[in-house]
Amino acid sequence: MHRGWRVAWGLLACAHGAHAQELPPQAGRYMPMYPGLYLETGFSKDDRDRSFDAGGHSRPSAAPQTAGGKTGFPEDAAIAAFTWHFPMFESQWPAVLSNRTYLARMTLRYADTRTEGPLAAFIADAADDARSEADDLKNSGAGVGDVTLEFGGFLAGSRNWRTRQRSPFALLLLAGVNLPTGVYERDGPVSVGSNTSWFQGKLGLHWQPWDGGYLDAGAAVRDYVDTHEAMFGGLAPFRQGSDVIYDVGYTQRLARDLYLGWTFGFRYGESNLYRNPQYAPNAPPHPDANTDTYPTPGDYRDRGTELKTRTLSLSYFITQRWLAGLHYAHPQAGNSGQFLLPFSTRSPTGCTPGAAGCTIGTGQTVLVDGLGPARAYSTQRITLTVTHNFGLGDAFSCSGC
Amino acid sequence: MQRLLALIAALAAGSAQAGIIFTPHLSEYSKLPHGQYSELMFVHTTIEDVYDRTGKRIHLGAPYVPKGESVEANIALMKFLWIGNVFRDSGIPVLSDHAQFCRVIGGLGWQQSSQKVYERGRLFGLTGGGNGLTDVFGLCGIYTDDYRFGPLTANGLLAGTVKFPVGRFDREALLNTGTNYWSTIPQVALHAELWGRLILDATASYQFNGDNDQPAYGGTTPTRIADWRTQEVNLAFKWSEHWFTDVGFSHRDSVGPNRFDQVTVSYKDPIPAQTACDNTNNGLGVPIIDPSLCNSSNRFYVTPDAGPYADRGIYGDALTAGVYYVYRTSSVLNLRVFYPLAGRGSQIDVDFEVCSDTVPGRPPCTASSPNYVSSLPDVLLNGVQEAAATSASPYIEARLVYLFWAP
Repeated sequence: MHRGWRVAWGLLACAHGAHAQELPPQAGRYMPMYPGLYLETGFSKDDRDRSFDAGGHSRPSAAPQTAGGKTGFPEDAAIAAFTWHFPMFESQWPAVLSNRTYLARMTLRYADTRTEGPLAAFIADAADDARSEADDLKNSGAGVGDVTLEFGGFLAGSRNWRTRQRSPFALLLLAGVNLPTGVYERDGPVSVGSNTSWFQGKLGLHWQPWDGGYLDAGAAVRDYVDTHEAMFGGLAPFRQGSDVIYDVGYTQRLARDLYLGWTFGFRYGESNLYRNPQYAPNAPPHPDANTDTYPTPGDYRDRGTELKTRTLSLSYFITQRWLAGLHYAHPQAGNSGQFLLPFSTRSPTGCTPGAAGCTIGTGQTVLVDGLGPARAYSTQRITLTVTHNFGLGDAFSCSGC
Repeated sequence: MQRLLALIAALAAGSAQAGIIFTPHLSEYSKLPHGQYSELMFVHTTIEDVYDRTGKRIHLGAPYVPKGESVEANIALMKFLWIGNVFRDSGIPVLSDHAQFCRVIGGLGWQQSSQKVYERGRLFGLTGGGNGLTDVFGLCGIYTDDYRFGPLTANGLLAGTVKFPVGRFDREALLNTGTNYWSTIPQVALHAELWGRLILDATASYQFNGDNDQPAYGGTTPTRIADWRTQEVNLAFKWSEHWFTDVGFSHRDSVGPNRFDQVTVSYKDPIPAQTACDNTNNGLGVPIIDPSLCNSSNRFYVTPDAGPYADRGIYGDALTAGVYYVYRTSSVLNLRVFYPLAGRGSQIDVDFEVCSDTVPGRPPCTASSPNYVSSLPDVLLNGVQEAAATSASPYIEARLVYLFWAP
């Protein structure tokens, strides 16, 4: 096998590592590969018991506004990404379309996550179930995750795929969509699936400045669809703000089959919208026995989210077709979504606002943690990946053509 | 031609999941070359209308949610098909000289309801959507001989499908990707071609449904699901080696009624008297309490009689139309629209008892309860999910048939 192509398939990869349940960024991720099917699998563990607050400070809890100690959302995730590189449109189509290669990718996930600490105690506490919406809450979830589909073409760098002569430069345009098929626990603070579709456009640049060195840089914009049943009583966003995502990485061959890479990932999320939250773990106390409080219905916004991550990757070719990688991701900086939630009082307790005899008043306002995608965790994440090359060849057989 | 058609085929019994009906496609039942095939299919629908028990098209959730609300269902299915003859050298009559096939279908689904729908469900402690694994369908069958009459060629097949209820099933959810009951579906089918241009696929099947001892959404999914009969026909035309179009018709009806034995739907929390009076349509479609009690300081709760109840059975007629593009011999892209023509959905009349929330522990309300207030007879409830609801909204299928392991 041509050494360059061998390295290329081995170092193929996926998106950025800013989110959990995503494979870590690897070198060569924007490099055209010889047509064929590639599979990359990964297993990651993340304690997720620290998070950045809205001011950018790393706090020793995943939900710092919940008093009583350290809340954690530990997650184990298994990810499998099938990637096909292929030419299209044969020779009779316009050369601008037929002389380059394309990429299609499907990413599958399975994860197990749960809630620990004081937020788990709030979930288990049934004392307020009779007169609030915070009843029948769930602690954990396990099951299949979302499915991500991507499709794109190499704008530059793949014209000579038939001769296997690689260009030192490549440019990839990639479109992606998330299918929120993952198991979604509406009554829990964490969930395996997102219940939210997103659409993404991405531009990736690859450059091989010298033999054994690979530089990759990408930029993406991601827009989210509304989720009508935001989890944990609406403390997760109803409408997640658009993300702008950048990644820059360099990988150098250290020895014959050993590669070391560094990647910097940046994700900037616009303000998230929360609609009609139903309760909060840090709700203000009831003023008296005949009066209780409830979140004032309305739309609320945080100030957006951000996460900057450094990832160190060590990759080794076990055989020509098998590549193992170990990735250590360290969150450098970030901020989570938090918002001010005003509470109203009602008397008698549990009465329906607007009904005769139900007196409404103004209560306290509390700062609450946005959950789900609004959290930016400041915990280290380790991912083990194994990549397999199923074989090279024309993905579209044409016997008799 | 046969190799080309092999790409397009996707054997599946006429079945349904999440309100989505699986109907035959171009060359669904043609005799294919021995080998393994794979297919990826996405189905999307936004259901705004359903059929009631009289066959009238009504908006989703009527009369309990306003018009314009919807549920959205997306299903991604992976299908694997094997064709061969494991009895070829066995000498067993019939089997040794007729090819067999087996197929496995599974997938993932995402279903979500719009805001008013899930807010309504929340009053009852229920949820709107359901994501996760679908049930798994496994089928095996055998092809008949080939028949040729001048320009007309034909073959048939016999198959049996088993639906394994392994999909995610949440008893609190309005929508589920799993069904929680077994099904067994014997099927006969015919494939015919005229001059290799006009392609007919037709099937008839009977679906034996098992019971669901743990119904969802407050017992508004049936516990004893009626069996179904399905007849479907699909007619396609080959315009070129690359392009095909087809139209099809599907009829599905239940054999007798669905039966509901565990109706439990009830307000999560007792409601104040004034709330009940101000919004009598908020819960049951009829006044919950007498107007003279509106000023009462009490709260009230309701308890349904669990059943049994029976609907009038369901049926659905639909038209399909699609276009196919064949790329080389390993890939097919297919886009299809499914348009309901007529149908009948499931509705039942449920009896409720109303009690005041004045007894500690809130025991089930009956006419003999000390806190009994009134009875609400024959309250109309809609049956939900694939065994009961009949969608009157169209949906779109997008298919990619790809030969991972081309024969």
